Amino acid sequence: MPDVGRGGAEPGVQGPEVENDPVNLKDSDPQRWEALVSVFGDELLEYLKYQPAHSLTEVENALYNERKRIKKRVGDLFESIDPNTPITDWTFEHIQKSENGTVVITTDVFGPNGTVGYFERAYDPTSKQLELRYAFLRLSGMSIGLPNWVRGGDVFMVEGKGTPTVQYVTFCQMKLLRAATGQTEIAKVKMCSIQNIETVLHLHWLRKRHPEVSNDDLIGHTASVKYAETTMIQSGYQITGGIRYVSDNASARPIGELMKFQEGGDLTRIRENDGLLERFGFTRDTVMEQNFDIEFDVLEA
Amino acid sequence: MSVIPITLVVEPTPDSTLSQWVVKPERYKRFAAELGQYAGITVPIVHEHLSSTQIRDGFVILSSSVSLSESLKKCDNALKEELPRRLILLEISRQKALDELERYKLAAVVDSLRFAEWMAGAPPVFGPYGRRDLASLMGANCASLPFLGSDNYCLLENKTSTRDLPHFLADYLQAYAQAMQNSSMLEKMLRAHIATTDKPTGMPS
Repeated sequence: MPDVGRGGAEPGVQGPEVENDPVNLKDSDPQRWEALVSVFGDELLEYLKYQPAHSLTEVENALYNERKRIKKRVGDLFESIDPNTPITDWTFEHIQKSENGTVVITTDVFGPNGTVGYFERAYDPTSKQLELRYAFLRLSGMSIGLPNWVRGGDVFMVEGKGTPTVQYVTFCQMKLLRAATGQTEIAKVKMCSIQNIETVLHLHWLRKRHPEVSNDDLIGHTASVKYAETTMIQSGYQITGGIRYVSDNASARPIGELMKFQEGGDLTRIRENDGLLERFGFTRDTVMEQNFDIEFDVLEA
Repeated sequence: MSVIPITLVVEPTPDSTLSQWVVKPERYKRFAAELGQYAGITVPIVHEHLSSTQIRDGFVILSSSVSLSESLKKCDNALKEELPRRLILLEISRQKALDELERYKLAAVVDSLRFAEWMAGAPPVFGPYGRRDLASLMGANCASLPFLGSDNYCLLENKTSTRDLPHFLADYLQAYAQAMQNSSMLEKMLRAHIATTDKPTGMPS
């Protein structure tokens, strides 16, 4: 059994007593705990260090899902995607603009059953920086968003299932940026204005739990960085060096303000955000940094 | 109240590399029609460069594939000077909205994400980015998040949820025009006052 120590909540972190406490988790079902330890070993230790855990079921599901996450490049996936090839039930409306040399692609995505999303990416051919600006699978105030998977291209990221929508649209946009600039090289990736509620909550939780660790080292455990990492791996790059947390545009505000802005009064989203608050042990009044940027360098793999 | 003309200008792309993904005027037909309906006028869509337009009065809504500095470059000095205060940028990145508003002291900006939300029929909670001082005059608030505002501008938020984007913009432009008119009258009064008080001592007023 890995030495997981006693991981009670740090001062300032609210939430159930059992949260991330291996003793409590073990006591809740010793047999199942031992089984998890034998199957996941160090992965379980890593999980309890960096993710909130309230029950063995939650931990078990998350660990199995993490194992299923595609971490290696799927051959020909990126190459097989053609922004000009239509997909049944999906429409992509791309608009290309120039911002003093930086090329910007915005894409309105119309999916099945009237769902709509919005994506914005930019590339500066001088600095070779790719900006991942906005990726909304669901627009403000809307109950239903785009499906999480697209069955487009000849190769799927997950066989039989498709390619995650965020990655698929980003690949299309990256191809358009390549076509517009005639350049394929990316040296740096910047994720702008992070307003992803889960990521903002998670980073704040991590900061409370690991106050001795820098934001640069914590941010890599959040969903936003994992999305970006997958995008870059599947388009033929690898991250070099560390992840950088950039606070230039960040502001510390009650998280409820950002939630309200995105919810637009929609009850489904309100409930979802309440669920996230419960998971991380915060309230809408908890003040935390948001709208920060994340940067990292990449090299062709 | 006088009706102020509004023209929607869609600039042709100046660069052949911006090929098939350039905005076409048809994209804005519904927006122009609904805006015109709320403003009580017809909003024409003009497909030409800002520098060659003959629009010398009223509001200009500009959609361009290049940044405003590029669009203004070829305009004559007089137009460069006076156009920004009656200019509304349409479908620019939210990342650039506040910078462009403050830099040029524009009338308003409708960012790409907000426009996408309107096209998708999302609930009409937010409107354009506009002047802070006009929010309360038109039944609106400034969005509270700091990254949605600057010294003089903010993302405008509906107090009531019945106004969609074209309606919101029409109301805002009316409030803006009124404020400009008041400010122009005030400027004239101040100038007249300065002219009077600057007269040398002993001269009849």
